[in-house]
Amino acid sequence: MSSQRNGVDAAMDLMAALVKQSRGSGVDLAAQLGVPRASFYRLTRMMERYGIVRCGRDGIAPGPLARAMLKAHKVALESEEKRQRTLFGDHAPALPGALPAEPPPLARPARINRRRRFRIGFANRGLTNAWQVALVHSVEFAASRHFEDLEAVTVMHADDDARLQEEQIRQMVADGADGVLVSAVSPRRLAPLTEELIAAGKPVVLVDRGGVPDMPCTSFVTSNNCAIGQVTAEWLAHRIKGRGRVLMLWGHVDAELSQSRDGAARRVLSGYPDIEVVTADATNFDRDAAHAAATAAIARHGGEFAGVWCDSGLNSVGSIAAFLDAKFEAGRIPPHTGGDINLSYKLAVGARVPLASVDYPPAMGIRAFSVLVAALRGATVPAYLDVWSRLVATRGGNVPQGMVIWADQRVRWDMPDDLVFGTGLGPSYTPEAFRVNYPGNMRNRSAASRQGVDA
Amino acid sequence: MSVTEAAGLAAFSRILAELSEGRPMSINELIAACELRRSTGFDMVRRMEARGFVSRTTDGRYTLGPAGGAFGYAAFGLGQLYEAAQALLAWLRDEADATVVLEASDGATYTNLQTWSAPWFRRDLTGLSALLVSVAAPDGQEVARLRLLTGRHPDDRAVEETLALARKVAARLGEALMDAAPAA
Repeated sequence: MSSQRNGVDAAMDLMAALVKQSRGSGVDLAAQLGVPRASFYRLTRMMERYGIVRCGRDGIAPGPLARAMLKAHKVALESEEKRQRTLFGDHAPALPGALPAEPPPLARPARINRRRRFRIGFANRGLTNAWQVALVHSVEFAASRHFEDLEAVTVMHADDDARLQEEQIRQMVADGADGVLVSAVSPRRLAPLTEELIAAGKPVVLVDRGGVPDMPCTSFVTSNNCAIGQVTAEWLAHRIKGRGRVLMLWGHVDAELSQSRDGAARRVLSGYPDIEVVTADATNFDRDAAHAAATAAIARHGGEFAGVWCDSGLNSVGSIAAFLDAKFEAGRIPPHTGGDINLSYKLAVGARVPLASVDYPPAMGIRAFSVLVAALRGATVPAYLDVWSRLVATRGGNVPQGMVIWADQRVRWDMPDDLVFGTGLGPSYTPEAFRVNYPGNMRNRSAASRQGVDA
Repeated sequence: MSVTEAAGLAAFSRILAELSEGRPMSINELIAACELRRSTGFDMVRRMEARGFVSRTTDGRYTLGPAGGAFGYAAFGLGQLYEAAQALLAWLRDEADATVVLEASDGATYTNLQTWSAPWFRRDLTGLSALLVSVAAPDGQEVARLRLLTGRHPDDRAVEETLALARKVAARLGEALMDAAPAA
């Protein structure tokens, strides 16, 4: 190592030490940095000449140049922030009344990779519904917007096979991935692997699913399912004036997403003594199963429901269709919750069903990708991040304007029934026409196609 | 200090001083402005980038990097706060839909360290509600404060929730200072 290298490195070490302790005596700092006192004296005098440090009786501290550096850095950060907004749009704030009680823990990569461009792997759990296709499109969109940061992006689908997903992630790392983005088939099963990767300095960002306690990951990006359940149940309770029978349709007894929404909604509804809750069998997020469950409930209770709380759009679509099939006239169907897909809004607006929804946004893929790139650059990132959507509701009721997107403005009559909202890809997005260009994708074709995919 | 060593240190210092002007510069502009030999310029920038003192913009030009920003915070005794502030205050801005300003305090005056602007924020907007929350050092002394500007006339409940969350964020920033060695 040359003496030139040592001098500059010592200067950078001294600045890093002053970041930690702001000020220190020359003797202590020289000892801390392992620099002979005479050399340290010459080093600091030279740095003082340029205003980097200030040497005085009270020790060594950052000099006047530090303030200029702060100012310049602020300008650079503001410019970068503007660029990010132009590329990715604005983040929606937390839903009213659902602001988190605690800030998230922070995560810093164990090892900072100073590569100019990164290789990223996206291990997707599968492509069994339109939402998962939209998630992949969001991730690919983010990759295209981070073009300059990337050497290659690899996307693999695991067909809901946890073992296959584990193999795919190992393959991505063996092929040189610097970090991986994972929509996990089974977060618990992946835990040993993600722990291994993080220890090896490879950031792992989980998206959509992965929120099991103690799951080792750099960050988990999702949407707040408790808030979705809470806000939609509050809307429903207000809409039915706090009384009557409410049918609850939920997706899956095992899915964390479904449990969180359902639990939060029940907590809200239990605060209304005049509301009676009737629970249907789990529908497994299947439109036909939701239709069957709602039909059975209508037959059992004679259709006397004040409202129907659904945890998702697939359930609300099945339920509204069941009410229509049971000869309920437009405008007589009880209020529903659950949106996400275009058909929910088409049915609600068309049959004048009061409806409210907070979409579960595939745009979390964009955010998760950006978090991974930031972590690869060595930045400290939130270990947990919610991507919010705004409340969508049909007009009427007591919803304050400005807090809501009206369903008649959200519905796309010109688009397919299974169009998923909240992708972050803009109003012109259609899954069929989606083309994308990012490093590693030579033909501008998406890694996810809607062919053979259920709504 | 050898002649070579002094020359290297001078190159390093000049690059920092040039980039502190706030204008991103290409490597050729930096070399010309700092009057460096090309090999010295390339080598120095590479080493500074590896330590985070400079970073590259998407068009390949150089600006001060996060280590430079943290050193700027250190001028106010808040270097330890830098990383936590970047992550937590951007998060607070997004969640609360508020413009968040971090101000350093010397006990008498406040200096703006950084602003995380909400999408709706413009500097010429008037009549914004401001929430103030202190950031305290481990000894309880105020070393900085958060100023949250909310623009949509939130109701009392929203203000209370935002304030409660901002206080917790401020406490976390205070914790980041706890690892700092005591000032000499």
